Amino acid sequence: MTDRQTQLIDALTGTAAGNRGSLQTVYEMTSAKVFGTILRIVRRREVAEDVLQDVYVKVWRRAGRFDPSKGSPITWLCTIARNSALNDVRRNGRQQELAEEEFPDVADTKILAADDWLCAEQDSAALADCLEELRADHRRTIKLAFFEGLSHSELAERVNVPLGTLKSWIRRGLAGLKGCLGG
Amino acid sequence: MADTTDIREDDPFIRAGEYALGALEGDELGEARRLLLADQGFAEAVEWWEYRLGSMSEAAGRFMPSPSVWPGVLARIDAEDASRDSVPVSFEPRRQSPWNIAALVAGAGMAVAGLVFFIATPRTVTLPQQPPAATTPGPQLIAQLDDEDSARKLAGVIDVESNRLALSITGLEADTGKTPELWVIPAGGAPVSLGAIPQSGSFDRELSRAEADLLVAGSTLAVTFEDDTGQRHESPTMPILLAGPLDQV
Repeated sequence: MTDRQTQLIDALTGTAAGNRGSLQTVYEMTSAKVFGTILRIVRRREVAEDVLQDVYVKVWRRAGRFDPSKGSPITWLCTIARNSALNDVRRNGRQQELAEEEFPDVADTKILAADDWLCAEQDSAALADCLEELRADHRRTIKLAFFEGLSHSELAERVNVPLGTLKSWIRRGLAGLKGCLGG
Repeated sequence: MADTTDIREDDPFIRAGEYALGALEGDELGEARRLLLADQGFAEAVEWWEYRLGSMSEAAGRFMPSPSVWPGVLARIDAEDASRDSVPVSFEPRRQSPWNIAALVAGAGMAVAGLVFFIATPRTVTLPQQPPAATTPGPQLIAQLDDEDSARKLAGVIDVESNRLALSITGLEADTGKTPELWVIPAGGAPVSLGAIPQSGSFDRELSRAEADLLVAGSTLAVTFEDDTGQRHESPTMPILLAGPLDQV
């Protein structure tokens, strides 16, 4: 575990104990990444900042539920962020203020310098390896669903295939990941 | 290249993955939400997928939010706390906390009256005996930590002048090989172990100078279960069982 990962776990522990200074440390260490996760899904900066606020209020309330044996703290944070962003899109619809070109290419999961990576490196490497073993169309649709929060029908429209085909790709891709990751 | 040919349409593990991805919609989403509440196995599968898929989250990139977001987070926390505190007048009996401090201070210039714990439940937890406060006792710090769900409780009193820590503990029974461990978390700092504590009953010991320096108003006391190694641990193991601020009396 790197110093930054340890620092983040310590800050999350302090947050769970009700320490606002610790929450600020969590925010300073993670907000840019969490904001990236949200912005990709809601695609409008003003809305994304509202969701970001909501995420850190949830972190304040729920930090005690984080279990490091299940995954890294940044994964836990980004999961809260994804779910919050998805709920917002389902309630209010998606407004495409920001274009795809404004985001880094998710095909390259190693776009961050190693010392900036807060996730457990072996976890992300294992997933990256397993994704590489999938068929290209399965891999692409799973990444589109994950990073952009697209539903089955939105994905089918995006990649221009029938809905049944799209669902089959997603399910086969997930089955491949399950086998590869040992689920 | 992986391509699993036989996938059951209703395989709940794969359906959990679709839910974690956020791809479900309509009736399929509604059914998955129902399963999430009703089926623990499905909920655990969703969590498994969220952590596995979530390990690529950082590839989404970094984008700096506006400087106004952080103050907004604090304002929302304050607003929520204030709304929780301002309970409307009601004739319905409100549930009393089983762990309230009913009386703390006798007033300015007066001696500390002592700590009286009002216990609404039949089980009474008493504080450890305090040194007699004949005339003008020095300042004390107190913390009351409780979890209504698990009935775990800890009351702590720190006598600043005598450098003593006194605890009253209920319900911290740990699995074999584990022990409850007490932590102090300075404002904005990392947790520091204060060592193992009993699973129940009273506990009283002297504090080292370094410990006393950390135990100040605004710091937080917390309890976790740790491996019973006889040594203090460097960092706590989640989850936090109990936590609460130290307040000066």
